Amino acid sequence: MAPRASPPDGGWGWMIVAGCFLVTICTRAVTRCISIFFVEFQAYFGQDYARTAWIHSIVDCATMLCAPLGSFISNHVSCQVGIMLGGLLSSTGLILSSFATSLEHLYLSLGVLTGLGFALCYSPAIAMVGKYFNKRKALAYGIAMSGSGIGTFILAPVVQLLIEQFSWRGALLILGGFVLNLCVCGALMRPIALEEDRKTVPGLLEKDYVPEAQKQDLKRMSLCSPLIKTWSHECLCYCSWKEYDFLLMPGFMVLAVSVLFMAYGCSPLFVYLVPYALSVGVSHHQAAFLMSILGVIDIIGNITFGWLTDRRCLKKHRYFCYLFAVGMDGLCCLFLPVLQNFPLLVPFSFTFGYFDGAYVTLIPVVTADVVGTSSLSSALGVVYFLHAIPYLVSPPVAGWLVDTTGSYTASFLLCGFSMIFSSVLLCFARLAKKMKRTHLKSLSTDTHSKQHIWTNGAIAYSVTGELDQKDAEFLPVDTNSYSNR
Amino acid sequence: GSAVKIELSCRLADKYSYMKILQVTWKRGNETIKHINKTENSWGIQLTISENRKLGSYTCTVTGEEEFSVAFHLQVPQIEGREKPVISYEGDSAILICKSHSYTPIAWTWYMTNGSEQIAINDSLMLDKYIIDRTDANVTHLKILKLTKEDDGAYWCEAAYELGKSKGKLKLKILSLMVPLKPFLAIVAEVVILVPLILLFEFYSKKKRAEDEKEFDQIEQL
Repeated sequence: MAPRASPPDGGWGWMIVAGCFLVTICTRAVTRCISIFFVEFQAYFGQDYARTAWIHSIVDCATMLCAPLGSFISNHVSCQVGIMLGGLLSSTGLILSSFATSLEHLYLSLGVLTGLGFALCYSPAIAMVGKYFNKRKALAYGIAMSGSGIGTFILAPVVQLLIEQFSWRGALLILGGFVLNLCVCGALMRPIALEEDRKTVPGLLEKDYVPEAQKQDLKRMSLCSPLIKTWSHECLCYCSWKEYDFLLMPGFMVLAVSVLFMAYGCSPLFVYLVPYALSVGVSHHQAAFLMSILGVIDIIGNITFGWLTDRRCLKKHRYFCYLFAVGMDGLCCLFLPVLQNFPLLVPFSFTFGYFDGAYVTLIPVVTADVVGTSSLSSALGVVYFLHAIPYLVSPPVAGWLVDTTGSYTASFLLCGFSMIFSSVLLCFARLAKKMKRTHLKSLSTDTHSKQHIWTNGAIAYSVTGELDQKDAEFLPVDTNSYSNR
Repeated sequence: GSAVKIELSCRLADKYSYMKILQVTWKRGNETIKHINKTENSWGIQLTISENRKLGSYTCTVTGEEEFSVAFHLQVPQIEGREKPVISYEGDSAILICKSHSYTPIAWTWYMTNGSEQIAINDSLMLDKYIIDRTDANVTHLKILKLTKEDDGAYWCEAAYELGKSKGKLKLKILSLMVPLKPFLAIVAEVVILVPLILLFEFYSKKKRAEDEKEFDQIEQL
């Protein structure tokens, strides 16, 4: 089948969005609903809350840590097989948990096995959406990511009902069956071959420009495409290096560091909002209401911000929209210690929830803008992997700060500054890039006379000047592909 | 159980000492208590309370030019059980929990209902069936092992206080393993049907597109 010229932006793409939506429900929403089981586990196994809460941390951590493994499998075998395998693993984990006889048994089956299964599904599904959409990418991502909010909203009472009807064993069994629908999502992820799946400046070069580079790339693609038969050692090394060379890109490194700080800042908030609200005198019902507002506005933020950043006027500035959303979240955190009663905490929930949904939608979009669509799957794997350690470390550190200082101010300030730092880092990186580009532009206009001597160099530079792209980093790496013009 | 002696007395405030008192009555509900101990300016009654008898509201009414009334409420704390039944499966174990808020009971006793009568559960006699956890005085856990259909029914946890006893009700419902298996198998069937359908649809649309391209190529060649 001949590769397509550009992403379809519709058609089967909407089925992919529906599939990714269901994947987000079955992974993120189910992870959040596992905490509903904790009261039952505590009573049944006679353990305290801290030991039971480890299950949630293990699932979250396993899902994020094994995300690169998920991308690896979908790149080398097939997205469909990867997601279906993930569905089978997580379903098995949940079914085994329903026969658990001890809490350690649950750590392994519900924590590790189910988390691993989720990891195999999550990033490949998100990467697939990026391949099918271009003009409406952010909206597609917004709809797909809203699955976690909508899923939590619907699943939480359903899980509660299941536990009341069937006790936690029966509820886990039925939840295992529900999660098996990940296999259906996997079947929907029809592979698509795009012409842009090459390590050159995507779509902006003319067809006859670098035929040699094209041949090189197609050869590379055929070596790296599904190949259980031709599993040669040389190919593996070559493939994995080419697959992961985005890691050395400065743009990606900056994004990675900023993601670390952002994940560090935002995770304790969901854990400590309710205890903080209770400590300032808000009632249990009102505190639960705050969390509900957060969840619902999260969904609205997902979809509206996705739609907004697809508008032509904002599309060029998606990067800045992303860092604006992260910065606003950080700012809200800084104000939180000042908000001491319910009427003040409600607008906080609105703002924080909205911008939280907003930046979650934009993470895959910004990653795709930085690394291009071909490496999106692997890059997303790495980005979600980088979420794991802050998610694991940040809530206990915040808890320790609360215990030692006696108030929540220190931990909230730390979270706020962490997120603002992440946003400022991205801002500086983009400004530095802009300055470097204007510097190069001024250089190329000065060195007219040297054009013949610098055949390779001038082409590299003049291409940099003409094309307004974010892939300036590619060219120093691949200058040998632009041999003839 | 041992009985507790309680003395209740009511006294008129100093600013009413001018008032001429016609009558002082102590009542429990509608029943008047006869023996009143009168001291200089207070009237008291003595009560012996045991086994929840004589619990209730005692009112002291002082009648003069105006009538003043005060009430004493003697009660045991309410034990909350669980309105929704505790669900468990045959062969599994179940834990029933009762808590007493604010007040620490002297002892806890568990009862199971057999027909219409309540039988106390003696955990020292049936060690492999019932385990009662008494580590925390405010909370009691009854763990029932090796459940069978006969263990289904109502259970009572009784907390003994100095003034009397208080009961909470819990229901235990035993299900067979088939019950959750049915919805589970229904969902699995749905997945097993949908996945091949979607893959077949993909296969056929690929074939159709390949055929269309072949036709197009043939037309071009001509």
